[in-house]
Amino acid sequence: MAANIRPSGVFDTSYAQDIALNRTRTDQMINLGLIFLLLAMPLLSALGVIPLSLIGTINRIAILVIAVQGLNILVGYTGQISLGHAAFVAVGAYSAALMSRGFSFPVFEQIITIPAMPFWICIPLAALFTGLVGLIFGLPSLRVKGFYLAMATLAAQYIIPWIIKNPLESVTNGVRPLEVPAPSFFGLSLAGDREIFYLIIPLSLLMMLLARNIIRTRVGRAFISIRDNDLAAELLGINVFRYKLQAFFLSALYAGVAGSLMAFESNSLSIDAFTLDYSILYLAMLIIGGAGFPLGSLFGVAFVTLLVQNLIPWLSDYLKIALPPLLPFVSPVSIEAALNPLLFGTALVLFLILEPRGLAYRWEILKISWKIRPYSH
Amino acid sequence: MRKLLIVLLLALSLMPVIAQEEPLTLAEFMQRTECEADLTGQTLPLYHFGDISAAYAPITQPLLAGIGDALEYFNARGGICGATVEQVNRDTANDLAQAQAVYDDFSTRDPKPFFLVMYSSPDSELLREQLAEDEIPVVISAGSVEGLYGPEGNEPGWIFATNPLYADQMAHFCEYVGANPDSFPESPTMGYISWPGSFGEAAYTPEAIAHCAEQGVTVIDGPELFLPTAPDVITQVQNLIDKGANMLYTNTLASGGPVIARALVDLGLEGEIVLAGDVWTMDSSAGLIDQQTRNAAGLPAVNGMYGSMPFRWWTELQVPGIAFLNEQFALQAEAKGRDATTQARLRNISYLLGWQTVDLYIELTTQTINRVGIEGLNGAAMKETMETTVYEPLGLQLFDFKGGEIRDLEQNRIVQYAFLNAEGNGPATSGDDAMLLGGQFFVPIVVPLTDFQITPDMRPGMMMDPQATEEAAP
Repeated sequence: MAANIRPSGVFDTSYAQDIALNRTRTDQMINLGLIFLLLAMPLLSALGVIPLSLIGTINRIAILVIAVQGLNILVGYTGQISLGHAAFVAVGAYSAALMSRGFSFPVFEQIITIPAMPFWICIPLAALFTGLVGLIFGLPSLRVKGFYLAMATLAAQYIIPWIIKNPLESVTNGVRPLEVPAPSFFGLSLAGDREIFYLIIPLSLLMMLLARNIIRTRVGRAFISIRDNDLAAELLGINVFRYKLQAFFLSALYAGVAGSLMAFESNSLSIDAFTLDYSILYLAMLIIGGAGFPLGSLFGVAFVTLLVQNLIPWLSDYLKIALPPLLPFVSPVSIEAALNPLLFGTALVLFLILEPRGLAYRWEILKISWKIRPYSH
Repeated sequence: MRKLLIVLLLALSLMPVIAQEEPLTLAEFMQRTECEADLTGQTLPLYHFGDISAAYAPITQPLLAGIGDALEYFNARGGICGATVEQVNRDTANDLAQAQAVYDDFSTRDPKPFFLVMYSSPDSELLREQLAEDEIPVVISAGSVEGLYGPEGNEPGWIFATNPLYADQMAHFCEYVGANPDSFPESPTMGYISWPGSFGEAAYTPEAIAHCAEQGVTVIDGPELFLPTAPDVITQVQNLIDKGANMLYTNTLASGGPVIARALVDLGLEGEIVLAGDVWTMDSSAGLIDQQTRNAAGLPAVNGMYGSMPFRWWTELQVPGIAFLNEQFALQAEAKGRDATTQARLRNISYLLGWQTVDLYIELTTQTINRVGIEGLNGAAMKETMETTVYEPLGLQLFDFKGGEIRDLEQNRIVQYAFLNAEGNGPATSGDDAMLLGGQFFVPIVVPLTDFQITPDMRPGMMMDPQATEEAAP
């Protein structure tokens, strides 16, 4: 939306300008400045300017942004709902972990041994493998859509963890934690939050950029046409099934990258971190951020993460004193436990009432208002 | 005369002030180390985090109350060497991502924490390596092999558990069954029914299963799992019974036992199938969660459930610490206006744990300060103290990590769940002779069936001879 609007008095004079990501010099300067600031954060943390815990928070936000961006491709761009995204993240996480550890498995009475691989091979291979798994679970999209497709993808959320826990227990440790070696790059360990920041952030930026570009391609336009009206898209000659499968593949590929990074960031995997709750949380993040907007995943993940991990704990210190008289029906002992769900739930409801199209939509409105100033419309 | 009256009035008004200046002292039975430093005016943090709003809430909310009440009591009596202990805690809502975020926050504070309290196995498994790297010792009320000893079971880390490993608890129960065949079905066959995940499945290990087999208890291949939110587990129970189970074992929190017990009552099998569980299954909240489903005797369905109890219990008034806590519990209720329902909910295992954790923290910190001074107080120094100290916080439980060889406490009792009788002096035999609190609640109690014993060691490669199990009073 905002991409087509110039500041007053600025016009494109070439095709290159028309398709450029940074369409004005100011855009370019702001974006470069933000990237520079982001990449300087570990250094600022080392100097004590910002806390180290903030680097960890940014790392986790960036990983989740990739995962939710994958969901955005499927749900936001293509209109195919998925309730199994956390399971695809699990596939990426476990496959990257296993490749980085090396493992053996029996095939026709022979033991095949896969040697340990460096992380920069594990991540793309795990992403591709997850993409292929996503293709399999995307097959029902040929026949069903809407709630029925949601139920079909829910199957992934049950089948994949079951496979990880049971048939693959000998290599995945089943329900027990699987340790993941810290990644290293030419002898430089990326074990710490500051070090792995330089793996996670560039990859996250790259994946965001790719997602943004996807919707500007023929494939992306096909996705959007399927989302808006699949019958009309088919009548226009778009192979709906093929593009739906591509969306599932891309979505799972993103989940695979996110899962790989999760494994390398935490150095320990537990199947408990990939339950249905997380699939629903990813979906909630996308809806809050704005499904169908390239920045929707960033806004949604940042909003939910900062709300739950920073804002609510900060408010809790004050509210646990102020709330007991206001909530006499909640035992004072339980006030602290009630705060998290109460505040998170209230924030969600208020948010959906006030801005149902997501934060990214509000951001676009703000940008347009700024660009067309001093005119109001 | 008027002057005399004024002087008298002044003297009278000063008396309470003078009386207040009398220092409060610890109860006589508390055997604390004298502190050699004076930290008056300083504050020392007690960091703790975990789920207090999701599946663990019924058991962790009383922990918070216990910690809060204990801090009030001990701070009024000098805290740690005169320093006030301040709790810094966060809820993680049973979400590993939040646990990681809270840990990042706490572990990067300046000064770095020298001691942490955590609540759950998944958190311990997630943070095990990071805690070792950051050199922060942890006391936890959980016990998975991987969290405490690593994936191979042979690397004691920086996490110390206040209870035996869950696998050890199941193996201990099997030993009890083997030693008391008359109380259990012939050819005991045990089905494992629990929550999915590292905590729920923590006891279902090859070592524990093999140990049970040695005791004559066959464990059915393949556990049946249900979500903590599941309202009904009849299918899972029926599946295990179809496979031949005449006993069920669960490794859940307080809500797990009642839902299984209800399924047994619904299936009409309450008298035929034995139900047993881990320490948290035996929490008093298990008896409060569902009092509507009654067995044939008219008592709540969990009546008669077996399980582990490595802690002292509220009714053991002969233990000075328990008598003291009963008294404090009543005083705190009065001071804070807690009603009978709140009191019933708080009167559980973890409230006691809250008190003993604070007492342990104060003792360990005092000993460490005495050894290395306040400037040398850090995680490594605290870990050294934890490994070498033998201490019974409030006389409730023996903390002895054998010079650092082990990371879980090895003493346990097998107990049975019951409800208090109308006289208040023993277990009720039926709903008719049971005590009803406020005319509504049956009062849950646990009845010890054994004294404290050393549990079998179920770490991989550490199985010991069952004959070696010995009696050991704490």
